[in-house]
Amino acid sequence: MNFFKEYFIGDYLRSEPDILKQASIRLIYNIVAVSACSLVIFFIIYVYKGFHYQLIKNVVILALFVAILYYIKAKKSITLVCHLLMLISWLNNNINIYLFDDFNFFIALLTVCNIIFAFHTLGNKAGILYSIAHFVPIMLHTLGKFSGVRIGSGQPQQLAFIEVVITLSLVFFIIVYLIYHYHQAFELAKINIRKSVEELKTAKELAEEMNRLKTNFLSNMSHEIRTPINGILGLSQVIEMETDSNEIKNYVKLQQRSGQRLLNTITSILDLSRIEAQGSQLKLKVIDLNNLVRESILPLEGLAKTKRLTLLFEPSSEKLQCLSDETMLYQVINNIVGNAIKFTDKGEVVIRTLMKDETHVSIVVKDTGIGISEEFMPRLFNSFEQESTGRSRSHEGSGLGLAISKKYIELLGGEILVESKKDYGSTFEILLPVYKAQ
Amino acid sequence: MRKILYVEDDPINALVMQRLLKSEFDVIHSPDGETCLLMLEKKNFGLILMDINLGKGKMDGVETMHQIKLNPETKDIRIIAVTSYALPEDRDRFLREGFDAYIPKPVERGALLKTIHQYLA
Repeated sequence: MNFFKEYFIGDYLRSEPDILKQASIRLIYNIVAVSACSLVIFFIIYVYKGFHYQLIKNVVILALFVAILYYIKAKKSITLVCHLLMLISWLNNNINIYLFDDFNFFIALLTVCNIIFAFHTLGNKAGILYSIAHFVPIMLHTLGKFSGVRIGSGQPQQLAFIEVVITLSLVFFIIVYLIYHYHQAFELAKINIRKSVEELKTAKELAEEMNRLKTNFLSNMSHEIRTPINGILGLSQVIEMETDSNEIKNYVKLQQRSGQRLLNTITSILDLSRIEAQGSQLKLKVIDLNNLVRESILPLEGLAKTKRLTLLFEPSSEKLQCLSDETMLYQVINNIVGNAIKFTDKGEVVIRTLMKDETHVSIVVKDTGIGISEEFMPRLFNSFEQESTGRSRSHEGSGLGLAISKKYIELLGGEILVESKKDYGSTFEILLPVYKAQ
Repeated sequence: MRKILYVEDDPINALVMQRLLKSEFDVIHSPDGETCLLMLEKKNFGLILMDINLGKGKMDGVETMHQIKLNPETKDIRIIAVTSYALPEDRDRFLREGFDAYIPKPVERGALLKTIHQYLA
């Protein structure tokens, strides 16, 4: 028996990962194989009894079942076979019911068997469809018989004792097997699911722990770096105050600039690393955009003044609100306006807020600065990149600002658009979802 | 000269603060929270600058601040957090805890003086 099983469905079973599907494959195989064996026995009985209409049916079905086994072996699919089996069984029932006016105990059992089979192998939809298809003819026949309508021409067939025994055993076997088989598969699936849930839980806990460790680590890093830098920059300021030598004053000023730059780079790297660790920890609240923009550009006024640039804020006349993280948004606006000032040597930096469309507010930052070349544009938001052709020293910075800004704005559900013409200036536009009070 | 109490475990940073404010304030240094509370019993200070991470001390800056605010004798002294905890959310965290103001390290003399003058009783 095992030889046949391996021959027909061995490869198919090994290629199917789904336990329930595997159960269906084994089931189909067993039903078809056992039915084929039974048909052989019936064949012998019929031949012994002499020619009978059942003999033709028997031979046809036997041939079909053998073909089905080869079909499963070749195609590695059972859907079509399941439908075919349902159809054969349905036809068989209806031939018996209508042609021979016979609705008996076996047909009832087979019907139950078919319905369970359809649900398990073909799913709920097909199950319901086949249930109705089985039920309706039987009901019609019963009603017809009750009201005296004679359906079909043949006489109810008289089953031999041996036929009754075999059919009865077969049908019982199929029902028990169906339920046993699926129950086993369900148990196995249940154990697997429980195992997967456990694994997922462990993985989730591990990920959360890693995230917590990462956040802690970054926070400690930041603290441990700032403490000595306070010593360096603090003492540098003390020397600047206390020395009488202008030369030394200049040196320590340079030292402070370098220190500040180091600090900015480290802060940016930490920010960038923290984005992933705290992505889910946005502190969203309703923000008045005009106010926030005003606050974010306030610390930059000094720099603009030093560079003799006009820094202009034109707030929208209507109140613009968005649901956002204030600290993040502040940092982004501060960075983009800061860049505009940094990369503009004369002219102006204009910031505008406006209602972009029904669903978006926008902050537009327009400068008359050095602009961005087309070649550099695709790398604009990359970490540590700065367009520096021959003037690498004139624009200090880690090249992390825009990378961080982009990640922040994406986390806040918006986007940053850039338009620029080399030597004429750039326009950055921050789009954010609008907040409308209910 | 007005007296300011600076609670800080790192001696270099304590020196920096004393020297930066030398011309305007007398900065008295306390290396930990416990010493700070003892010093407050003996002397009057116009303002306290408080580091948060106080190293090996039993109390950190936040706890020390709470102790000071709980004592009716000292509860009116303004306390400014001066700390290397300078991540974006730290400012809100310390102000929520009860500090009157927050200055991140590294300190810059101008900003430092501005805040001190603003909060000095």
